[in-house]
Amino acid sequence: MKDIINLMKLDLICIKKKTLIPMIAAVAFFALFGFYMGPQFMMPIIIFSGLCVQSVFTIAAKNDFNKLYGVLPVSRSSVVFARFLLGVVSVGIVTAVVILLGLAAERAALFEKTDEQLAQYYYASKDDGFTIPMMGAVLFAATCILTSVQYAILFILGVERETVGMLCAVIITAIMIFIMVAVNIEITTGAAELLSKIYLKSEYLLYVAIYAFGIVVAAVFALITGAVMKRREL
Amino acid sequence: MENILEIQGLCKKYKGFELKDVSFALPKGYIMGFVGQNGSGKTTTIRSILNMANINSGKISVFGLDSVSDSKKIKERTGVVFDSLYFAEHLKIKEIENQLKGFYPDWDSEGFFGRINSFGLPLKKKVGTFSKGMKMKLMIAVALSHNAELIILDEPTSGLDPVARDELLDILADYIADENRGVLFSTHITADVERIADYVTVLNDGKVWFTGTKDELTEKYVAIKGDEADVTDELKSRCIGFHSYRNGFDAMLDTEYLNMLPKEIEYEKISFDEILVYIAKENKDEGHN
Repeated sequence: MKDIINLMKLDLICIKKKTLIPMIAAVAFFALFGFYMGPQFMMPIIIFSGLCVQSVFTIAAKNDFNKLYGVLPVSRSSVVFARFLLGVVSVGIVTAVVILLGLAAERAALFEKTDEQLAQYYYASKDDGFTIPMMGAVLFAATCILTSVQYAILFILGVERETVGMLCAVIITAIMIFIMVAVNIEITTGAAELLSKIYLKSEYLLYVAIYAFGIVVAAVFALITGAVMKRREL
Repeated sequence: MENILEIQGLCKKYKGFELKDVSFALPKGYIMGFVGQNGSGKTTTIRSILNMANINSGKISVFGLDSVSDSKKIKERTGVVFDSLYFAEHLKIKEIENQLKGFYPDWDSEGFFGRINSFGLPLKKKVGTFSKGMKMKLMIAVALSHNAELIILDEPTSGLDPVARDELLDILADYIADENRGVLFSTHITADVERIADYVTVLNDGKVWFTGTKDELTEKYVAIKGDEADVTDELKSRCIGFHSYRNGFDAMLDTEYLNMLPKEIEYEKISFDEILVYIAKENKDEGHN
């Protein structure tokens, strides 16, 4: 665990200057936008946060970090786990901040004065279940999944072949959806039923389930990527 | 004599290149020069020691520990300097120190910044703006700051000016004053080996051509030259890198065959550079045959 924390610190120091200030600026901008236009407009920053840690891959490739990992007393799989964990933690922190800011914006209700129609749309969505915490949870899980796929591709194929990797991921996903539709595999109804059951038991339990889903998917990708990288030469 | 590094029967295959049965040992308290032409397998051997390359067979022990299963313990006690910087170039020295110190139980921050100061490295500049010599000194400062007992350097002096090279070699000479330490440095600059190495391993086409003390190597071979007509077939078969030209020939010969030399053929002490040149010539001839 100590190695993983040190590796996360190593990555964070690398991207601190390039990422932290733009991230804070982006959160501030979206927060201001959200206060005056509606809390839902703050949510995209969660997806943006998933991209921020990604710059460490470019830095690692540019500075031949394989040599650094070869010199440091760490395992190859630790490097992978640390980066995935940093990604999930970063997204988690931004999600928490955005939820708090969103609730504050909802309470301040400044957006009601800016655009009545948008405000009505927001409250209608809220009545349908798309509360700030719900949107935060869903976007957290979605961002975890997206960044996990991206990190796996970046680790396994490298920065130079990231585009090819992402294209393959999109094609594979499209093929899977096509097969499901063609064979009439219906998972969305089942998933919706399960989520409704959980929601009826407890709203907070549903949030935990959604967060857990995002984290579990990230963990699975981290394990697979770690296993692949363990066999790779540095 | 206790060995700080032992390699036995190391084999590593890549497409188009192979390390074949590489075996040598570095005793504690000594410096070993690891020499060979470009592409002879020096870096592959070093990467195998550091478990950066997956070896096909053989055994590597550092401090008596297995290089694969005890890789982490070994690296806590080993410092490494490569021919190029492996830190993020947009960072400054303090940030790099902050990145690294947590990995080493024996990290000495005071010692690190003391060395940075004595090496004259600026704290306020990004390391990417450093000269090659400054980057080398930074890597050495890092390598020396966690109480490393073994320092491995891969072509540390290539691209350095004579003054920087001299400074680097002085640092290594000071480091090895502690008899519990060892230094392995790979180079194709034989003058560096002549200056500070106690032991030498010569790698040629993925195989160990010689391993032993520096003096053993220079005393084992001589350079011979004379009229080609005076060379018997048997003598010629013993020569290494036999080269004939209009006025005669020259070659390298193992001193155990000196009794085969006719009076007309001269022999003299051979330098490291010449040894590598004759080995290369021998390879070329074998290639043509």
